[in-house]
Amino acid sequence: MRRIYLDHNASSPWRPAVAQWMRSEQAANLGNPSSFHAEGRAARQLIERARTEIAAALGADHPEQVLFVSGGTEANNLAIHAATQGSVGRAVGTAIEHPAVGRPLAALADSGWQVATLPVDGVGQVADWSAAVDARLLCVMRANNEVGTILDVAAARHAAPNAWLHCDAIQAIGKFPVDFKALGVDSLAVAGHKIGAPVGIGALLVRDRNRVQPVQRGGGQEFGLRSGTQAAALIEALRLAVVEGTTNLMKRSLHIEHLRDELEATIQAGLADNPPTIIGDQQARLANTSCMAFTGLSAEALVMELDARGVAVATGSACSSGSGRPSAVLVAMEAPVHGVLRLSLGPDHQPDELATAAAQVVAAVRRLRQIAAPV
Amino acid sequence: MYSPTAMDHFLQPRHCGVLSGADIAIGTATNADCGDTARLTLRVIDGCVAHIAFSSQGCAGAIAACSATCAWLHGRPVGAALGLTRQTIEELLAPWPAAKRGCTQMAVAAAIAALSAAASGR
Ligand SMILES: Cc1ncc(COP(=O)(O)O)c(C=O)c1O
Repeated sequence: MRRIYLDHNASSPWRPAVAQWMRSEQAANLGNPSSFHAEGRAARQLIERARTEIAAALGADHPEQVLFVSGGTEANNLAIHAATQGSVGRAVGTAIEHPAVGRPLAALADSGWQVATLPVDGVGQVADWSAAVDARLLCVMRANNEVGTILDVAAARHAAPNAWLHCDAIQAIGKFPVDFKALGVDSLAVAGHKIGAPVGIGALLVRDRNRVQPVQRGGGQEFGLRSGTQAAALIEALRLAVVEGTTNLMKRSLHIEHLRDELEATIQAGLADNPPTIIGDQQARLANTSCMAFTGLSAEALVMELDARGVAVATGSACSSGSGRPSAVLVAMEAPVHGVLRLSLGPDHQPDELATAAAQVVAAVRRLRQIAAPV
Repeated sequence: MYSPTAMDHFLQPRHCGVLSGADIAIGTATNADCGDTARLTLRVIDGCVAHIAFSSQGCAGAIAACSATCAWLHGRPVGAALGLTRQTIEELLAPWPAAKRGCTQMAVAAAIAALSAAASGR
C-alpha cells in the first residue's frame, strides 16, 4: 500500500532538488565556511549565494538582512529577544501564534514586560487591533499552521506603526506570497522543513541588523549575531527550497487550492448526512490546508484509523505531549475542539491520491460513528 | 504508543454493538478529562455474562479498552466479573500508556455499572 502523506504543515519531505543536493559529493565534502582553503571557500560561496537569493525571493532589500539559524523556533526566539532585550514595554501577540512565539512572549513578563494577547474571531482573524496600538513588540503570524487562516499583517503595521513587528511566516512561504519589505515588518521567521528542506535550518529576516543582540555567542558567525559554524549544506538546501517554493507560486497555489477544495467537497458529499465543519477563514486561507471538525468523534481515533489505512493526517492540535489537551488555536477561535483533523497538502500529489484519501476519510468516519452509535 | 494487541482491539473491536430486550442490563461511563463516553449492554444467563456489546464515542484507547473489557467479561460468572479492575485490562493490552488510564477506567466503570445492574436484577 502506497502511503498518502497529508501532513505537510508539520513537516514536508525533501523536494527532489533538495534530495539530489543532499546526496551529492559536493554537499558531503564542504569545509568550514570560515576556513581559507578551497573547501571552506566553497561553503562560504554557497552561503552567500543563498543569502542573496533568499533575500530576493522573500522581498528583502539586502542579503545582509538574512540570518541563518537552526529552524523556526530559534528564528522566533531570536526575533523576540532582539526586539525586547534591554528594555521594557508592552508586548502583544495574536491568540493563535505558534508556541514558538507564544511561549517566549509570555516569558517576557518575568523581565518586566506587560504581555497581552489579541483575541481572534471565529475564523481566526483579529477583529480589533486596538490592544496593539501602544505595543513595543507586536507578533502576528502570516498564516496559521492549524487552520490556515492568512492574517492581515498590513493592518497590524497600521495599528502599531512604531512597534517592532515580528511575523512568523513559516507556514506561508511556498504557499502564499511573502514580501518582507511590502509587509513592513521588522523581522520574519522562516523554517526549512516546512518547505521541503531538511529539519535543522531556518532563517530570520531582520530589517535593521544593528538592532539585534545575539543570544548565542561564540565564533562570531552570521555578523556576530548567531555564533556557530554555519550549516552550509543545509543553507544550500534552504535556498533550493525557497527559490523553488516561490517560483510560479500563484499558478501552483491555485492548483493546490483546487485539489484541496475537491478533497473537502468529496468528503462532505460522502458524509452528506453529517458533514464536517470546515474551520478557518474561507476568504483568506492557505491553499494547502484543510481543518475539519467531525462531530461526535475523537480526532486521535480518526488519526490512528487513517494511519492504519495508509493516510497520514494531523489532529487539530499542536499537542506534543499526547495528553490530548484541546488546541489553543481552536479554543481561541471558539471553534469545535473535538474530532478536528488537519489535512495539509504538499506541492506534488499523484492524480488519484487525493480521491483515495477522501474515500478513506469517509470510510474512517463512518466506522468510528458506527462504534459510537451502533444501529 | 499503543501495543499491537491494543491496536488490534481498536481496528477490529470485539462485541461492538448494542443489545436490546427486557433482560438487558446497561452500564454507562464518561471520562471526565476528555468527555469520551462508553456504554455497555449485557445479558446474564445462568449467572454468567452470556451476551455483551459496547458502543463508545472515544479515542482509540477508549475503543480498545471497551473491546478488551467485553472480551474479558464474555462468558464469565457475574460474581467473578465484579472483581474486574482497570489493571486487568491494562495487562491484557500491555504496555498500556499511562496517559490512557482514563480509558481503561471508563471501560471498567461502565462494565461494573452494567454488572451491578444485572446482579441487582435491574
Ligand atoms: C507557524 C509555526 N511557527 C513555528 C514553528 C516551529 O518550527 P520548528 O519546530 O521547526 O522550530 C512551526 C512548526 O510547527 C509553525 O508551524
